[in-house]
Amino acid sequence: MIQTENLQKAYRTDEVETIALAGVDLSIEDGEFVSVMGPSGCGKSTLLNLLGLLDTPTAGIYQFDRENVSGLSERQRAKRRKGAIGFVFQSFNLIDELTVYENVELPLLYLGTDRKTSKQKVEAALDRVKMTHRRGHFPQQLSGGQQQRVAVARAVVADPKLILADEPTGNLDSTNGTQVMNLLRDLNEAGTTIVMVTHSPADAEYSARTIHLFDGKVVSENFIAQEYAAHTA
Amino acid sequence: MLRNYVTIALRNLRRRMGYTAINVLGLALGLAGCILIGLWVEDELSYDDFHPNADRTYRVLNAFDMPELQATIPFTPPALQPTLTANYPQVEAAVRVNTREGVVQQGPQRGVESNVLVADDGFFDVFSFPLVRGAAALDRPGTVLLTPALAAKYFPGADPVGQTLQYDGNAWEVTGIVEAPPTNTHLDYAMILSLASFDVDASNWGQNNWTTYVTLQPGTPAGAFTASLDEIAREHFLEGLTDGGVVPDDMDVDEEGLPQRLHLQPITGIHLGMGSPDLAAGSSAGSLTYVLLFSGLALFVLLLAVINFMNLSTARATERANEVGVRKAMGAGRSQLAGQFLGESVILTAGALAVALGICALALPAFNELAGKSIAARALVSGGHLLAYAGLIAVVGVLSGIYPALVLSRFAPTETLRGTASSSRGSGRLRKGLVVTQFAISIALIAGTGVVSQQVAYLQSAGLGFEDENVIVVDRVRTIAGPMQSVADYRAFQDRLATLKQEVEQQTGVVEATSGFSLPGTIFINSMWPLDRPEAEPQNFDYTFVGYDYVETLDLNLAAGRDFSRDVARDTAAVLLNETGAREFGLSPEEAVGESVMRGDTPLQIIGVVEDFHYASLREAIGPVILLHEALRAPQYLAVRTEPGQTADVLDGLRATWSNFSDLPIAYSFLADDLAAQYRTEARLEQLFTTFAGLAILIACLGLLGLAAYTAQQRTKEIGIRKALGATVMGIVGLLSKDFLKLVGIAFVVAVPVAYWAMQQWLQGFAYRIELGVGTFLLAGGLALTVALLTVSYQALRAARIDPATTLRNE
Repeated sequence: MIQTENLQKAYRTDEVETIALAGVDLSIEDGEFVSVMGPSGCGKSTLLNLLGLLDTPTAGIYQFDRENVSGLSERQRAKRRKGAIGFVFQSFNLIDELTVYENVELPLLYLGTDRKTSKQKVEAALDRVKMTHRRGHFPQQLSGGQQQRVAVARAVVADPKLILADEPTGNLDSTNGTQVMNLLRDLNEAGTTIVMVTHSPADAEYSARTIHLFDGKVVSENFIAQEYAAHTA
Repeated sequence: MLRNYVTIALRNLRRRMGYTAINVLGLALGLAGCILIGLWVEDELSYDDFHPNADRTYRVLNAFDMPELQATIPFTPPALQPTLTANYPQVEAAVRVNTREGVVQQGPQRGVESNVLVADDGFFDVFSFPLVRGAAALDRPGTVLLTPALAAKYFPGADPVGQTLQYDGNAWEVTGIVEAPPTNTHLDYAMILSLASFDVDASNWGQNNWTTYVTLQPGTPAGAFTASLDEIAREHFLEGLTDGGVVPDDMDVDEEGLPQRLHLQPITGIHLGMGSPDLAAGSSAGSLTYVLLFSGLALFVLLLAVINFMNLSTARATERANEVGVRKAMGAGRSQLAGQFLGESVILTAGALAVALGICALALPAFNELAGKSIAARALVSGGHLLAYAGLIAVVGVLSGIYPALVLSRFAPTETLRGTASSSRGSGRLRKGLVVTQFAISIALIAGTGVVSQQVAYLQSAGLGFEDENVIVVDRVRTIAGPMQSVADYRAFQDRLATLKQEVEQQTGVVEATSGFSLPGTIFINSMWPLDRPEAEPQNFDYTFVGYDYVETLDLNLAAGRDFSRDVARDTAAVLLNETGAREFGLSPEEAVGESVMRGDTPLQIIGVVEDFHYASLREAIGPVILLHEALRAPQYLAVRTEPGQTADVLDGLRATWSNFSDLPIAYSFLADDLAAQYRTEARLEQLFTTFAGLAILIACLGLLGLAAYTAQQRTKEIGIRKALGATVMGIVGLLSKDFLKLVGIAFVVAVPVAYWAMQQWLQGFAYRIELGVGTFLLAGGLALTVALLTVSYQALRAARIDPATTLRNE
């Protein structure tokens, strides 16, 4: 699913160059659940942005679904992203002006899905996160946990191969956090590949593998062998 | 997808009501101003285009190109129309008309009617004024068509068709009722007499007293007809000019061009004086310059509103950055996002247009008053206009939305989702540039308003060389006697007039009375006058005919000699000059007195020279003037000078006296009002300028109000920290206001030279004008600065008074 070789990202301003990623080699198989951990500023979010095709690497190779996508233009990246990658953010990033239903529907609109199919998929996604009864509400009318469940529904509605989650429980209390993690685990068990950035060792335990980043490099990988074996079997 | 865009647009606008209100209101004001001016311009451009043959109908102009006469007039000889109809197959129809004034009587109803049109039989082939009832019989002598208003006036409650009325002592049969001319035609009439009733010499090429209109056959371009017109000019004008000695016999017209030619002016261009650059000034009622000027004003005002929209949208771009990020993460392309934001601005513009139409409907009566129009409110929603509105929405919506759309759709999702995006420094600079533009336009308009109103005030109060206050002018004095067909008739009229003057002068409150063919502000005749000396070169003079006491009644000053005297019999063959007139002959006032000017073969002795006075508007320089005695031509006006404050009493007496001399109602006005009316165009310009300068500054301030609010909001934390560290409220207000006021300052520097140049150009059109000082411009800048300061400091004060604990906690 994901293959990177010496992936680098540097940010330049007029005077300084900041290295965010200093050569990451990574391989993630279909159906894996991988956590990325590390201190603030180690490059976790940058890695996630590159994997999510929201940004382009300064150097190195990124193969997504057996295609080299390192040098794609914005338009091409938007096209690959559509339907293939779902995002879950720490701050939910729901659009305030849209209802729960409309927020979840958004990726399907950009995919050009017809209305009937779209309705079925949205209802199914909302049902999956148990938010059907709130479909007409606006984000401000929901609790943080409910908002994040909507965000998860939005991430899965187009049946993406990959879900990227950036500290999905960071803004949630433990009860809501657990609910969201359970949702992600269920998705993974149903076959979706998940890459999750987290600060929480407890959340990381939901994944089969944890990658530790430090100063823009991978410093160690912990396998939860049993789970890993189960998934790759 | 579209549904999603519309939904989010409406919800967005509703959620930020303050922002929406400022944006919609500003845009609505701009659009309303634009629509109103658009209606005015449309009306100005629509003159005479309602005739089905308008595109091939022309007025024939008569152009003189001779050393002593360079002029183009809309009057042609009576022989032209029969020649055109008989000999030129390219002419589908041709018609002669002229306008006169006369006494109409029908039973007990009697009145003076101006706008009495005399027209050829072909009138309704060329013009499409509809007949309401009856038929036109303009080919028959003694027939007349009435407008409904005149029909009701002279035949109250009766059907006039088939009946007769008296005009100038003759009986006329009413054969039909013709609709009154619409407001957008250059041709005015209250009734139409058949030209067949008059003894018009169809072979006369020497007099220019008819206006000729032609409709060419379809497919005949006006240019192709020029050769035919030149042929007519060569055949009929040239001989007369050489015979009269006006041009030399051996003149080579192929080399030098024809000294007198005929041109075609499209009838749709008559109102604005288009299609004939040489036509004498003042001969067209409209002004292309003002049409262009006001179109420019409309666009400026709209531009200000568009700028507001751009500014407010980019200022709050950061608020929507997150949405952009999310949509991009979901797979939205840049063009999709740009389309979405453009769509929003189009929706907002549509809303603003609806509000604008409401404003227009409310403002239309006042606007009509201001612009001298009678545009109906239903014109606002006519079919063609709805289409234009759709275009306006699209253009303004895209224009105002394009920049914000580009800025917003450019945001990188990686930044917006992290919350670090801000509208770039570039857009901040652009915003400042736009604010400068807005205020530069506002300041220029305010300064323009100041200059125009100063000039109008100057025109109305300038020393005229005579005293225009407390003078009552009675028009149509000729109607105190019957038709003048012999010398005896004229003598009788003069005696009657002398008696009338005597009786008027005996009233208390009357200082002096006089009569004249022209008064200041009315038409003086123009011709060449030589001195009574061998080999004297004739000079071009304006002249008129005046009665006794003209000098005293108008309070003119004598520079030399004396006024006409009843005690000197030969004074009826004497003249007065003005100082410029004496100078034109190369004489001082004292030298001029005793000399004579030649009128044909008759010498007229110069008995006095008056100091120069403004007998025409202050647009024109004072020319040389000859005042002849009214014994040579019947006067048109009686002028009565009253004691100050006695006008009302004198008017009562005047009415009573008049009724003993005429059974027509008295027609009077006040000289000062008549003179002021000469500057109606300028006064109107002043009012329109004032209105639009006000609108401009209002829109600019609305924008500033919004921007200041956003700036204050963005700097909430900074304000809190500064206050926590001991900054005063006034200090904060100063901090927030300073940046904006700097922009107004830059706008001032940009606006002044441009406005100064433009107003200097406008003033060039006046022979007598104010000196342009810096005062007006400083005042305009000061005014803009004050208004901007009040606007910004209101927002700044609100922000500065918030408890720092609140702002810091919020962060």
